[in-house]
Amino acid sequence: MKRRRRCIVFGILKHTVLIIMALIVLFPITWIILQSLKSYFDTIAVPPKILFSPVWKNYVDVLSRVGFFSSFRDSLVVALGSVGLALLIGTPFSYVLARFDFKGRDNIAFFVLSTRMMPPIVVIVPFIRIFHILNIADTHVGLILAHVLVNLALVVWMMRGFFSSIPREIEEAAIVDGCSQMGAFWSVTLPLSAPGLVATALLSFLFSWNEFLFALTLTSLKVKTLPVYMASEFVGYLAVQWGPLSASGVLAILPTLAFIIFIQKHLVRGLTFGALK
Amino acid sequence: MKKRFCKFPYIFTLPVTITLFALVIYPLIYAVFISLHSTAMGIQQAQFVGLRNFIDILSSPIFSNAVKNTAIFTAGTVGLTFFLGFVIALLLSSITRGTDIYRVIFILPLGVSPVIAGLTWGMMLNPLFGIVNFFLEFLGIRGLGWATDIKLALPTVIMIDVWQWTPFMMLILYAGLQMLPKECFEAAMIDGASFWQKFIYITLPLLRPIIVIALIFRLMEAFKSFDIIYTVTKGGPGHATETMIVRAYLEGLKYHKLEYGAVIGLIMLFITIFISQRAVKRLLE
Repeated sequence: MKRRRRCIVFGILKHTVLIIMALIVLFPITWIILQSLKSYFDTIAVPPKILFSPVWKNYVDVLSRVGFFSSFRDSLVVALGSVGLALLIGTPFSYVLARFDFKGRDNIAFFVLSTRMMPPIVVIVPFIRIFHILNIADTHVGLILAHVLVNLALVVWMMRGFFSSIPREIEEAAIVDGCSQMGAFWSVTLPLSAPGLVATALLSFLFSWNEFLFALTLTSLKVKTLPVYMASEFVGYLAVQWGPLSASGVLAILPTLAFIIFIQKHLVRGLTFGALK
Repeated sequence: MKKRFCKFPYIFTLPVTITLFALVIYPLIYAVFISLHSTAMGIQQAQFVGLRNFIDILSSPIFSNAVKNTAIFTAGTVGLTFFLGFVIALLLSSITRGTDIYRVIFILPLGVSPVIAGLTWGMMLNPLFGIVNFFLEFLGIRGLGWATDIKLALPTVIMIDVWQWTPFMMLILYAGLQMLPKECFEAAMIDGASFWQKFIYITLPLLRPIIVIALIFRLMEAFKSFDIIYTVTKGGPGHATETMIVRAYLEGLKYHKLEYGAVIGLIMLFITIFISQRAVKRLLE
């Protein structure tokens, strides 16, 4: 009986700690939502207002800015383009890594992984120069290429794990039935790893959507992704427009928050590049 | 049949090889080239200066300061995210109800763009009207300057980074805890082991490989972390939050000292390779 009571006390204690932690985690997200619904003077009121009459003004303001729309579009184009390209070249490659044994396989795989560990700053100055020569400075194409570099390691290592987990026998059966190796990959293995492909695509999308350093340095006037837009647009000489800033922040994180919840089962694999499942 | 098997890997490998050559190998060679030249007259008239740029950077006190800040930032955020993530993971795996809800809440920061995390925390930590100082006043703590205070700025950006990345540690360690064999704990319980005994003699040793993976990934990310520092302080006040990557950005892109930017970038690359050669390869196998 005494032991049981101790258990309950411990249970309550654990939940209390967890709830406090959860509140700390949730607070900034809640606060940016609240700020986005406040009028200008409410956003900088002292003491800060927790109760206030909500207004939609900031959202109307943000949505009517040409800059926000074009940034949203730029972010979308760059994210979709780089994810598409990374998947297109990375998926077949990861299949080869998972299925074939050839000389130098592990070295190549580790080299791909190490590109992710590489501090991006070291290639930025060369990129600026090369992009300038190729005439793709400040364009979607240039930033898409840079983001392929961000996402390729993720795609290769994550998909390699998914492909390895599909039994080779299924493919062999298809080949016995008259499929070519290519056909077996295309019509058997790839459909079977569709959930993994979706998770990989969403996580890469998230990385590209949130990426800041390449976007800040490789694009400036013609192309401006959301993070770059947000870091500069609302911070004026004298004051920060907290309301519109918060509203655009909320609009920018809604898709990524949805993604992260949607792929939570695959997150561990994704964040450790397939090292853990 | 046999022949097709041989060609197959290479056709599929070629696009990635070309991409990595164009996006990694060539730029790195170019970075080495820049780092050995002076580009004061423009990059077309670059003059070979040998290792002078490296000597300039390595002997500059501003760079030593950046190295020190990088070390503090990295150690701080890796240590704290590990500790907090481990605590949350242990708590989560020891409760029976509500695990799924907690888990969803705890992963949310991973979906928030670091720039937005930085801006939001910047707003909350504003010394004049920020909500954090408002709460702290109830505890009798007044007027903290946070990111504007030369002493507090670095801890402030570490704190924001910890908010963003603790979920990463929590997720991985929690997944690791779920994979541990139950039998060991049952046997220990029968033998009457205390919580701490179980933790030190069973959990830690069994979890070691996963802990190491989590720490390495976090270390690599923290070492090149840029977004939060840039959005919150831009390296200031003074040089208080300038890490190596921020310094490289400022030198190479703000002050147009391309060669200094390249030098710091390459130094960071050497450090990364040094760490990963020792750790990553052995552990991920």
